[in-house]
Order: sequence, then C-alpha cells, then structure tokens
Amino acid sequence: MLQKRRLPASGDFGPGFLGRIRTASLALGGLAALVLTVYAGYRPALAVLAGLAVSVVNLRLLQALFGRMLVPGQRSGRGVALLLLLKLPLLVGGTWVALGPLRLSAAWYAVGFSVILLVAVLKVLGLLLTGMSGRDGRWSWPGRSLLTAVTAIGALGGSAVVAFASEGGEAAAEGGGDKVPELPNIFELLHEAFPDAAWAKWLFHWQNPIFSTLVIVLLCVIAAKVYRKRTMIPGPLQNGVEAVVEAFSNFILGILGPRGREFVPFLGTLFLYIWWNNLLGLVPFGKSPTSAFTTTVSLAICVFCYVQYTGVTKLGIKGYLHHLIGSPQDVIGWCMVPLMLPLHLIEEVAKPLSLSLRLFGNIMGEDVLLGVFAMLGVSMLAFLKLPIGVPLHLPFIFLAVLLSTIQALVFTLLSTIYFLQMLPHDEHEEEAHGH
Amino acid sequence: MIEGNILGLALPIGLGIAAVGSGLGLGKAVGAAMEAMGRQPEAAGKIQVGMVIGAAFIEALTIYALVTVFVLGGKIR
Repeated sequence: MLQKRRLPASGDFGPGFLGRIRTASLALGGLAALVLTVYAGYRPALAVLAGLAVSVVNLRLLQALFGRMLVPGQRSGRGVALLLLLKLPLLVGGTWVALGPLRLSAAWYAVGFSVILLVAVLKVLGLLLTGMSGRDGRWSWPGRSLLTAVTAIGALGGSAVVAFASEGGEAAAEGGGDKVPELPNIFELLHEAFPDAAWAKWLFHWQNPIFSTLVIVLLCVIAAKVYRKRTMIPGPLQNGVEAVVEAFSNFILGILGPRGREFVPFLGTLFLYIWWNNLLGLVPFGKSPTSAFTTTVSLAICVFCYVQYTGVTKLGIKGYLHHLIGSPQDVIGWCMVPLMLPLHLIEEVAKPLSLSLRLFGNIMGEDVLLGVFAMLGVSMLAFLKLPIGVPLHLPFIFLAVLLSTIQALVFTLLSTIYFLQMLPHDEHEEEAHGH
Repeated sequence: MIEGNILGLALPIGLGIAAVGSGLGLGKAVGAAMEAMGRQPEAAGKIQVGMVIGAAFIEALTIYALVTVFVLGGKIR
C-alpha cells in the first residue's frame, strides 16, 4: 500500500496543471458571477469577473515565467526580466482601474482574484490526498472512492442547505417558531410554495406514507429485478443483493438457530425497510418516515402481532398461557403466578412501545441535529442575504449514516430476540448443546 | 409564562441527567464486553450481539428523555 502511493510527479504540476487550474477557475468564477447577477445585481458580478481576469492574466504570465526559468532550452534572462516587469504594472494597474474609475466593490474584486488561488490549493490538496492521478490521468482506487464519497456527501449536504436556506433562512433568523427544525423535504417546500392548493396540502399531510411507499416500491423493484434475472454469474446488482441476503440470513440464523429460517424474510424485510427509511432523511428533499411516531408504532405493532401469533402457534394455546404466567415448574412457581402474570402482560405491551419509541427518538433526534446544525450554518451567512450556508452539518451526516444502520439493526435484533423468547425453550437448549 | 421558562431550563438538565446515567451504564456494558472479547476472541460475535442489545436497552432511557423534550419542547416560550 505504502509503496503504491507516490508523491506527485513533476508531470502533475507541469504547464498542463496550470492550464487545468485556469479552466476550472474560469468556470467557477463564471458560475459565481452568474449567481451574483441573479441575487446581488451586476456590479458585484462585474467585480468578481474583473478580479478573475486580472488573476488569470497574472497566472498566464507566471506560466510563461516558469517556462523561461525551468525549461532548459528556453532559459533566457531577458525574457524573465521582461515578464517580471510586466507583472507588477498589470497587477497594480488592473486593480486600480477596477476599483478606481470603475468603482467596483473591493471585497468582490478580492473574491474574484482569490478564486484561482482557491482552485489551485484545492487541486494540490486533492492530488496529495488521493494518492495522485495516475500517469494516464485515471484516479487510483482509494482516490476515486474518496472523491466519490466526498462529492456525494457534499452534494447531499450542499443542496439540503441551499433548500433550507431558501425556505427557512428568514424564519430561522427571526427565531423560528414552535416548529422543530428539520431539513425541509419536497412536500414541505411545495406546501410553502402553494399554500392554498389542495393537492399540496394533501401531499404535505400524507408525506410519511408517500415516502415510505417510495421505499417499498424501490425495494420491490430491486427484488423483482434480481429475482427475474437470476444468473449463475451474477451481475453487480445480484451480487450485492445476494451478499446482503446471505449476511443477514446468517446473522438471524446465528441467533434463532435453524428453525429461525421462516422468520428471515420478515425480519430481513423489516431491516431493509427501516434502514432505507432512515437513510431517506439524508437524501436532499427527502424525509425519514421513521422520524414520525406513526410509522414506527405501526411497525412495532406488526412485530407485536407476529410475535404473539408465533407464540400461540408454536407453543399452543396452553403453552402460550403457560409462558404468560412465567412457565411455573414447581409449587413456588405456581405461587408466583399472581405476580408474574401482570408482569408478563406489562412486558408484552412495553415491548412494542419501547421498540417504536427508540426508533422514533433516535431518527427524530438525528434529523433535528442535522437541521439545527444546518440552521446554524445558514444563520452564519445570513448577513449575505444569499440562499447559501456553511454546511456545518456535514460531519453529522457521517454519524447519521452510522446511526441509521445501527438503529435499523437494533430494531430487527430486538424483534429477533422477542421471537426467540416465544419459541419453545427446551428445543433450543438441545440445539445449543448439539452445536 | 413562568412555566415555559422553567421548562426551558428543566428539559436540557433532565436530558443531561438521563444521558449521564446512560453514559455510565453504556461505559460499563461496553467495557465489560470488550474485556470479554479480549479474553475470548472466538466468542466475539455472540458477545457483540448481546452487547448491542444491552446498549439499545440502556440507550432507550435517554431516548425516552429525548422524546419528552420533543413533546414538551414546543411549550418553551
């Protein structure tokens, strides 16, 4: 691993590198100018462009200078001197023209001027961080995956912040309201945009079922697609699905033993559904349906009913009642029945309650955490009066991905344990000894 | 008005107390599980499952406090 990583070769920093910096800066500066024209008028945009132009010409001169100084064949003292002489008047003159007669804002001029610097620093950082682009211009494997992850997370967080800023920025600056701050989803935005439209109201009201239906449809489509086209040599999709199914099935069977096979589909679906529901809150304009108590409580009631049904069918009515009164074996056990029966009844009711509250609280807390930090980021830049914010919540997105997975796993794991408690105990003991 | 202000003080403190309790419990549970795993690495899988379940139960107490904060948070003036 260490040998594979190499320091940036000189080729990475050659004239091509400077050229790439120039192109990227021009694109970035142009985009910034366009955004500024829309939100702040044409003069700041002009200032940014002026700064950019001066710095680009400056860079071009530097490039020529480097060429004269470094390339052995073209080294010439006179050229270097001429270029150095050109550089200073250009910088001072350009700045004077922009700020003096043209009366452009100095701050925006500086922004435009530093775009190129920013791009250069980012490019060098990227090269150093990602183990360099190869000679053929392709990224190495860790570099590529890191780049993809950073881009994806950045895009996720960025667009969410922009949406949040454009929607809730003013409200946040005024101190918000009673509303718990969460990143806005598409239906909330629609509701804000068309406050009187019946369809927007309907969508807003039913947002949780709609989002969870989306998850269901996605899962169904993937499952159907994989199931229809099963091949001996699996493609990437089938490979991934098989890996998930196998890992999860082994996990459940490890707890329940071989007779747990019939519960694997239910528990696996539960896990995938909850997991994707949790992750949906991290998708821009999405919302975790699990951050609403109704969703989690309905899931918990499903588990509760299935667990009781399993108890009745596996243990029989008599065995089920025996289990409820604490499985008394001797006289002392039977004497404890008046105490054990209410305890067990309360326990059975408390199970779905704690299941649903745990999931709801965790996901809600996670989403509110993201929302609060996004709001802080927005209010940091509120003085600009632009729909942008510092993506302060980015580190918490990583945490949220982790937490979403763990909570889905915990919900499924606890359901598995409830099934385990309902299954006949003796048989399990034998199997445990048999292993 | 006064009740609302008291809520604004009480909710975070209550959540903090709950978090302290959970933190102590989690520290004990995870510490013991880690020790057990260190002693018997071959049983790590089983210990881990038990640990995650226990951690979920312990952490649930803080989550209850958090839910209370969500429920009552709207009343802070």
